[in-house]
Amino acid sequence: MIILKRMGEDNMAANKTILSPAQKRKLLLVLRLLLLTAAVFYLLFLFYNNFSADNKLAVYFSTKDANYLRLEEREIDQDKDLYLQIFEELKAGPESSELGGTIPDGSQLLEYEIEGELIVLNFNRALKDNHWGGSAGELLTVYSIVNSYTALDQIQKVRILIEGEEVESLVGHLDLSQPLMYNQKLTEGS
Amino acid sequence: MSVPRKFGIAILIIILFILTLSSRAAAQNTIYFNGNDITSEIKTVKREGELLIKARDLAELLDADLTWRPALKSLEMESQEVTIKIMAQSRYIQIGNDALRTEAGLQLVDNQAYIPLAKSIEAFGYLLEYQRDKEKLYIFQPETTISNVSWQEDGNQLQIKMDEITPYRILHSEDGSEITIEIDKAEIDQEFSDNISNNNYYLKVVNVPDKALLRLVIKSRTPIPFQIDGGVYEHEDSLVLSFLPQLKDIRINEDNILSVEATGKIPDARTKYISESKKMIIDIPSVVIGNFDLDIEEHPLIKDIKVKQHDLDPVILRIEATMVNGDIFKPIKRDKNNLLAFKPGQRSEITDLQYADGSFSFKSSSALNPELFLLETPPRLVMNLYHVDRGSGIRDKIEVNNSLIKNLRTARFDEQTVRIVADLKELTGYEWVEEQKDGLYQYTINLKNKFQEIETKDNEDYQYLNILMNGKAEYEVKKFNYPHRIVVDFKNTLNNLDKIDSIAKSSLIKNIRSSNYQLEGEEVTRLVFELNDYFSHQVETYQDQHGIKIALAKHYLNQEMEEKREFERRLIVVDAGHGGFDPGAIGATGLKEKVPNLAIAREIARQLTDKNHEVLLTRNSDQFHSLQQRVKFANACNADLFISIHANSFNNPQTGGVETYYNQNEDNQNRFLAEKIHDKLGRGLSIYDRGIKESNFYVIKYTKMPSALVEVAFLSNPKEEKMLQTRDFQKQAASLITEGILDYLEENGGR
Repeated sequence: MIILKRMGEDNMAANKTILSPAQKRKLLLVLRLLLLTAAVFYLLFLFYNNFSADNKLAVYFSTKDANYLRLEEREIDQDKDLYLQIFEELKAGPESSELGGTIPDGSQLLEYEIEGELIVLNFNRALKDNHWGGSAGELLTVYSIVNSYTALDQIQKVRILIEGEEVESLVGHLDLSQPLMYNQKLTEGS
Repeated sequence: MSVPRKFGIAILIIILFILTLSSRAAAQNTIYFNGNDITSEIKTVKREGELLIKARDLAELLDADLTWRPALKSLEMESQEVTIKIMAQSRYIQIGNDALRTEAGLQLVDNQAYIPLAKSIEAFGYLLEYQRDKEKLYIFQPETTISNVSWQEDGNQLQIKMDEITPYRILHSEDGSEITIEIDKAEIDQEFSDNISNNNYYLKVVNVPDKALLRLVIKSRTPIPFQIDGGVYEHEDSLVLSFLPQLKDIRINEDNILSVEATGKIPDARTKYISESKKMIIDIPSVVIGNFDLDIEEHPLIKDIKVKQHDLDPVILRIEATMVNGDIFKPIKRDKNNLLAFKPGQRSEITDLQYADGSFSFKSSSALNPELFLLETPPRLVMNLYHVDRGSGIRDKIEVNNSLIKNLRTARFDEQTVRIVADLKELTGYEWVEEQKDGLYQYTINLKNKFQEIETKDNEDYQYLNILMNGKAEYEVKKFNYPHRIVVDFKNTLNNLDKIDSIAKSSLIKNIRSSNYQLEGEEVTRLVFELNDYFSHQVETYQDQHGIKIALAKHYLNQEMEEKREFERRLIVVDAGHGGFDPGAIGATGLKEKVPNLAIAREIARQLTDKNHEVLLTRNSDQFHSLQQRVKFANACNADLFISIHANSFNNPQTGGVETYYNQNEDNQNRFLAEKIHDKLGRGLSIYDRGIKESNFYVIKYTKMPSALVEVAFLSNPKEEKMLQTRDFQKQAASLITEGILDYLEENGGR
């Protein structure tokens, strides 16, 4: 014990002789900065761990072979309206190169209305007019929207309107006169 | 121009400007008093952003006495025992000892006193609603006065006492800890008493600015047990909110009886035990956590009790008790409906272990968390049950001895555990289900069905295919033609047909094969008998549905069917998708979907007519028909079949292939039709086979007869677009679809 203590004192003495006051100040400053960055990282880490898990959206995109939908997760942007953000994410398209977007160019979600567990989405004409058509194409577009919204706990059903009007179908196949619910069969891995 | 003159003009302009501005501001608002437009009857000005009313006009409106003291430049107004006082150069309106701050205060315009409209009105107890967007200001006399908010019936009801019930809304926050009762045209009584705030609840009365309504906001530390459905009713002059019962008390008495008490009726709870962590979990539906007492300290049996609101939709309260030892508490009979009681040391009893048809089942007095696993040598399924005793009807051993299972054995494995072992002939899959019946829990373990024997037998007239299973068979028998084959799909069945080659084939059966196949999202085992010619067939079951017997007729039935086929004339509606201004999908080089759709539909019509069937087209030219019109057409002419022809599209040019859609219906005829058509297309069209798919497409959903929608190929795929343009491909697709339709009609006969 005593020896160890001595050695410590010796070291300190040695340091004293080596470092000038200016150097010491510099060292202290560096140490403080290091501490500060560590604290910031620690806080960021805590924040990320606490809040990231819950604040995710599920958005669905189509597989390249047009057989299925697959979900990708997105962070919820607290500054944005949740329901508008979902459509923005759908429009922005997938991150994975194995997936493809499902929303035609120029499509806009004009407004939405929530009636209990039903969300009524009112789109502009571009969703219909700029669509590439086809049963597969229509299924994937419509259900990428429906599955993404019904992935929220509070939404069970989705009704799609085009410029405020009810339509029998988007491009001539799928029945849109009724609200639609989550499509499990079209979802990959189900 | 002289300087003073200039100055004077400038002032004049400014005054004029202010005058026009203020008059416009005043003119913009329409003011209603108890529903009548009084805008023209009163004079108003706007100062410092506040709307002021001529004091005399207001006095007349409210029938108030007005006193103006010029020396003090002070104004007093009295109406219905309320006196307000306001002085020039002061921003405050005095009401008794209180003062209301305004922006502009009293202003003199043309020697007339103007006072802030909204604040004065408010001071007199009137309600104001300002619709900013329409610039309409409504002044209402309150229609109701809320005098009292109190708890009723031991905290299960909240009563809001008021003069008269006006329209109201009840809103609750997402986490359930806050509810807002919004009452229109209501004021709060001067002697209002809040009888609900306590150490759990807090009531706040909110006057909503610019709205003639009052909000009562009730906040709680815990979720408020508001009943989402039917929780509000009107009783005389009160609004009553019914609440779900709240947890009141958890205690354990000298006899070690654990009791859980709520403020109202507790429905049957569900208890479960987790032996590893020595925990008992009690899930109580429709009870909300409240301000409860927990009176368990240093108990020799219970280490710790945690209570939480497990769920709000549906409402479930969870009590988690951690035991000191592995002891368990069992529910005992309740003598009060707001009380649950548990007694220590009692284990659940399992009873009535039985075996039937590849399944074994037993009952338990409480919910169990069984642990199941398979062991290989010797093959057996083991089930561990914790905290149970063996009761009546549980024998050490039940002999079964069939091809699936040898015995069922039960034994106490250790202090905590009873073990059920099923000795199997060989390893197989299983699933277990729990059902609740008469307060007992029944557990059923289903072993996957297996093939026991497949044999082919012959006599002069028939070729028999006998398939015997270990349990009751869940199956579908389908016949396909060209190539001729019988397909049998088995549900919940293990494919143990590795020795299938050894089955004797006969003159009628070329080959037998099996595969695992996805049918409506469920894996089925598919057995295929390839036949060397067309034979009519019949299906019957034997040995209590364990066996399926398929009889193929060798001669006369065959001929009879042959003749019958000639005469069964059917009406088929063929629907060419899109048309007119709706081109459908547009191909990579511009081919419009409506064109090949019509060409293929016409060709199908021609071929079916050749076979003596009657065919109607929903369109025979480039015309637009709505989906509803197409459906109505087919339903109105009472068609036997409906086939819709389309070409596919996607936003990836590489995607291609043929697919057939059906809409799931009760008798499965839609699927059978799609299977028949797609069987031809998938193997005959020589493009990628995308299979049959279920979907709620309009024309196949609302047509009343068996229907299918074919997506022949992808227009968005340049190679397939080229094919769709050629007459050969159109003809080939039409022929295959026609063959599928004929096949279906032969086997199922249409509607």
